[in-house]
Formats: sequence, C-alpha cells, structure tokens
Amino acid sequence: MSKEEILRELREGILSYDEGRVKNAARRALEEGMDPFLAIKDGLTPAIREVGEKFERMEIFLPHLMMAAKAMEAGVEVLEPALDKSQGQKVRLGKVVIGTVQGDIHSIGKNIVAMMLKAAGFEVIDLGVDVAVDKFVEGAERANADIIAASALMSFTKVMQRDLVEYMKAVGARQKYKLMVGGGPVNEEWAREIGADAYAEDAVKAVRAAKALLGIS
Amino acid sequence: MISFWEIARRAEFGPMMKEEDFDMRLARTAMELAKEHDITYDPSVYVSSDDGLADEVWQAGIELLTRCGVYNASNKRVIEIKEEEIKEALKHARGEIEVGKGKDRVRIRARGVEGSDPPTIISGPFGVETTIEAFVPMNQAFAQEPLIDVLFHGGHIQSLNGVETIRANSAFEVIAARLYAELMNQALVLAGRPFMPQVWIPGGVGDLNELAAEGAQIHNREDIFLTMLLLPELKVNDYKLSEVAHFMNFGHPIYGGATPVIGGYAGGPDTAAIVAVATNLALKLVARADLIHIGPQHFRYRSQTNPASLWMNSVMGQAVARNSKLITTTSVTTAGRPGSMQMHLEAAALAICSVVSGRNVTGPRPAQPLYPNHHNPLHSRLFAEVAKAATRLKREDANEIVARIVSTYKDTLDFEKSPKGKTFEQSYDVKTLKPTEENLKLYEEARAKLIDFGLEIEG
Repeated sequence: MSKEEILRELREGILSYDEGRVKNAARRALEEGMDPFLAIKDGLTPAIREVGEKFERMEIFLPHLMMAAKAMEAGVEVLEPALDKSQGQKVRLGKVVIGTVQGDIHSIGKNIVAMMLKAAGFEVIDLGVDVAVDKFVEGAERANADIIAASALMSFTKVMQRDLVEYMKAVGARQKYKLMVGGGPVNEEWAREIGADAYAEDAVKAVRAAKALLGIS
Repeated sequence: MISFWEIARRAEFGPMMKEEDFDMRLARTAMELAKEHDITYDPSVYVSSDDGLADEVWQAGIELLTRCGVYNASNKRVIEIKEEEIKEALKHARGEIEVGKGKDRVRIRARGVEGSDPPTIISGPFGVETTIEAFVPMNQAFAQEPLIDVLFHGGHIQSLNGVETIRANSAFEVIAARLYAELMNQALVLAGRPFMPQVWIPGGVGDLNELAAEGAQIHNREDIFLTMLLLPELKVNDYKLSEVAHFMNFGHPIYGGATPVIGGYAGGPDTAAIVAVATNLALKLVARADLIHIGPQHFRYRSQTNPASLWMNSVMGQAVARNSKLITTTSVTTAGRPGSMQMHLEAAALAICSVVSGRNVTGPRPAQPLYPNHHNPLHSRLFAEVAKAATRLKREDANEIVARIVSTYKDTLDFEKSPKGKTFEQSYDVKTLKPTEENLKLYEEARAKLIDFGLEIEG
C-alpha cells in the first residue's frame, strides 16, 4: 500500500465512521514504516476537521460526530505509542476538563462541545453532569488540564459557574487553568461578571475560544 | 395499561448498559428505521401534508421504543417496553381529561389533524426568573387573559431578602418554593380565577420543592398538573420516577414533558421525528402523563421555531394524532424575546403548525431570556388567537402562511441577532396591569401582519 493509499484509507475510515477501517489503516501505516506523526497530521486530522465542518453546516449530527471521534481515537491509539515525545506533544492541542455544573443534569449541549473539541484535536476529559466545584478542580489536577469548561442549562444553576470561579480562587487554582463557560442562560456579560476567561455560545465557537485561550491559531 | 409498579420494577432490575452505548444504540436504530420506513426531511416543507409519512413515522416510533426502551440514568438500567404494552396503553387512552373547578374547568382533548375543535391554550410566565416584586402582578396579568385556559408557571423566584440568585437545591430554594405556592394562590384570587387549572414546576429543580410546596396546600388538587420531565433522549432517573410516584400518591394530573433535540442523539429532523413519537409514548407509559408536552428543540438554534423544528413537529404531531387518542401539546420557545415583533411571529408560526397537526399549544416563551421578568402576556393573547384561527386551516394553506411568517425571522434566529425585547415592567403598568401603548401597538401590528399573511383571526 502506498503512502497516499494509506492516507486515503485513514481519511475515508473517519468519513465513513468506521473504527475498524481506521485501526487497520493505522496498523498498516506502521507496518509500511510511515511516520506516525504524518499519518495523524495528513490522514486523520484533515478528515476529522472535515467532519467538524459538516457538523457546523448541519449536514451531520451528534451521532455522526461521536462515531467519527471514536474512529479518530482508535487510529490515534494505534499510532501514538510510535510517536517520539516532541511529536506526541504536537498531536494534542491541549487538555480540557468538561462538565455540567452541580444541580444540573442536562448533558447534550455539553456532549456536543466535548465532541467538537475532540474532533478539533483536544484531549477531553468529560466529568459528566451534576459536577461539584471541587470535582472540576480535582479533575483538572488529575488530568493536568489546560482548560476547565463548565456548562449550565438553567438560570438557577448557572450560579454554580460563579461558585466555581470563587472555589478556584479559594484553593489557589484560578491561575492554573483557563475557565470557559457556556449554556442556555449564559452569555458574554455573565462570563465577564463572574470572571471566566471565555464564553462560547455554541460548540463551534467553543473550539475557537479554546484555541484562542491556548494561543493556537 | 402496564402498571407504574411494573415500570418502577423494570427501572430497578432491568438490564444494565453504559449510557454512551444506550445513546448510540438509539441513534443507530433511529437511522436504520428512517431508512427502512423511507422517512426523509424535506427542508422546503414547514407543515407536512403527507399522511403516509406520518403513519410511517408513527410505526417507526413504536419500533424505536420497543428496540431501545427507556434508560434509567441513575442505575444504568434499561426499562424495556413491549409492542403489545404500547398497543394496550393506546387502546385505553381516554382522549380527554377535565381539570380545574367551577367556571374555569377545562376539558383538554386529543385533537385530530386539521381538527376544528379549539385547542387548549396553556400559557404563562414559564421558564424565566421572576423577582418577588413582580411575581403576583405578572402571574395575575397572565391569568386575566381570558383565552388562556391553563396557567403554566414554571418560573421561579429569582431573589429573596438580598440573596441575589437562589441556587438549585439550596435551603433558599425550599423556602422560595413554599412562598411561590402562596403567592400563586394570591395571584389567581386577584385575577378572579382561583381554581384556574395550572401546570406547576414549583420553584426550580430541587428534590424537596414538591414537599415544600405542600405547606401551601397545593396537593390533593385536581386543578393542578404537576410536571415530570423525561431527559433527552428517552431517559429518566430515580428522582424523576420518584416524582411520578409522589404525584400519583396525591392524585394529581401529570404533565409529562420532553424536548427531543434535533442535531443531538436524535440526529436530523427525520430521525428526531421518530424519536419524538417514541418520546410521546414513553411519556404515557413511563411518566404516566395525562397531558403530553413535546418541545421540538434544535441543538444549534436552541429554540423551536426554526424550519427543521417546524417540520419535525408537524410530522410527529400528525403521526400521534392520526394513530392515537393521546392528549398532546407542543411547547413554543422563540429566539425573539418578549416585546418584539419577532417573538409574536415565531410563536404564530409554531402555533399554526401545531394546531393543524393535531396538537394543543403551550407557550410562548423566550428560549434565552435576558432579564428577570422577561415576559409579556400580550404575546399569549395573540398566540391564543392565532391557535384558534388555525383550526380553520388545511395543512397546505397552513404551510403557505407559515412559510411567509418564517421568511420574516429566519435570518435572525441566532440569539446574538434576535431582538432583546423588554421586561414585564417595561411592557405593562404594574399597578393597573394594563399593557403600555407601545406594547399594545406592537400586538396590533403583529396581528395585522398575520392577517395580511392570510390568517383569519377573529375579532
């Protein structure tokens, strides 16, 4: 299999949401002596970006995004151990710990943001719903995260985003992590008022905001 | 119908599954069913007239529920539902329910597609933070609107005695829930409709709110619907099932709601229509809903009046109305905010779409309110007039009128672009409870515009 054929196989595997196909192509890349960094950079990454763009245009939806992200993860899992250290750092844009705040069990919006961040190349640790402020910080510490992202879908739970800022300050974690907030009742003004670093109205903007926070163009 | 005890037993002992696997099974099954039943979204249509499509969506919805079940997110178990159990529940559906007392007693019916019977109007200051000062006048102003049959007041008290925002599950929330019930009684007495039927989501989401409100004697009252919400998609948790048990213990009618999300696990508008039909059924069997409320939500717009939500709502509504006697209503949330022409027009579009598709209507409310007390009863007045006028329409005519209306707002559905609107205090004289001249003028202009678009509004 030529390099071009392997790259095509990786791309088509992602675009057809086929985990097995991506895994096989990734194995083949290593067997053929292909640079694993290039397999990710020129094979998987453009394909997952394409998936993200289709989602943005509403041509595909969350289930497709999830299947594509799973296929991407399967490929990276095969290729990652073969990367040298400096290459490994380049593959992941950054780590994001994400969750819905305490008292709130809405998950879909948060899951869409998590998937779009994954598709963009971030490593995402999803803490789930009803997440207490200390669990956000513990999760970020455990993962050595760059960003904490907190979602709130109700006006009487968005106050937990403010509490998260206060808790981070109280335990000396505010300067360690960038903080993004989002959700139905949340807006730019609220984010500014509570002292968050960024607000994103939707998943597409969340990716842009996360990149901007880490200085990635 | 299968007993609630049996549902609770299955929720306790059903097969276990990872939540992510349930989500993906549901998504994949809906996609397979859309293919098998040839169900495809047509973006050029807002109100479908295709009976065959509605029936295929109905059948696919039943298959989805029987193949996937309902997920209990608390203990990771699946409540399995059999097709014969769905059919048996449908066979015994009553097709109407009476709520309220005296002159405000209302009969809410399962409506038919293009049915000429008037839809029940469920409306009020739902889903917006309310200050203690505005609570009674605002609810009174809504209750005084004669076309509102059932007052929907899931708003909650925003602040108390210097506590600026009452947090979910805090002690303040329990106190506010009790106070909420007391003040609601006052508002209805002042409106002269003390036993007007109500839909209640008392004070927020806290586990103790229902019990807290008991202090104000809201229980054992057949005029009060209590609300149980299914989580998207086809999920419950232990707390929600406990709510059902509690409501049943007190003999309340149950208002079962859910918002299938287009673009979420439900997929595109076509697969979401299938999921929405399954959700109507799950609300009947699992949530024991006497009145089924569906919000045709969209992941991008986060409101329900966009073209995809309109189509999904019409197909789902017709599927349920053509094949069952379930009593249903559609939730109407708008991107335009109270006090704007856009909110009037968005609400009209979804009201027309829902009524000709065989549903009652609930709303309107802003999807993203910006201020406390961000409501305006004049929106409910026009919404009710439009819903009643829609009973004289055929679906083809409704589609044309809705298309004209949608063309006025389709480019400003993003919250950043949609009008910010005004608060209740800016739209009403809070002492006399009369709308301001500007507010009344806006209502009249919106009304005239809808008449121009071809809707025959009475009066």
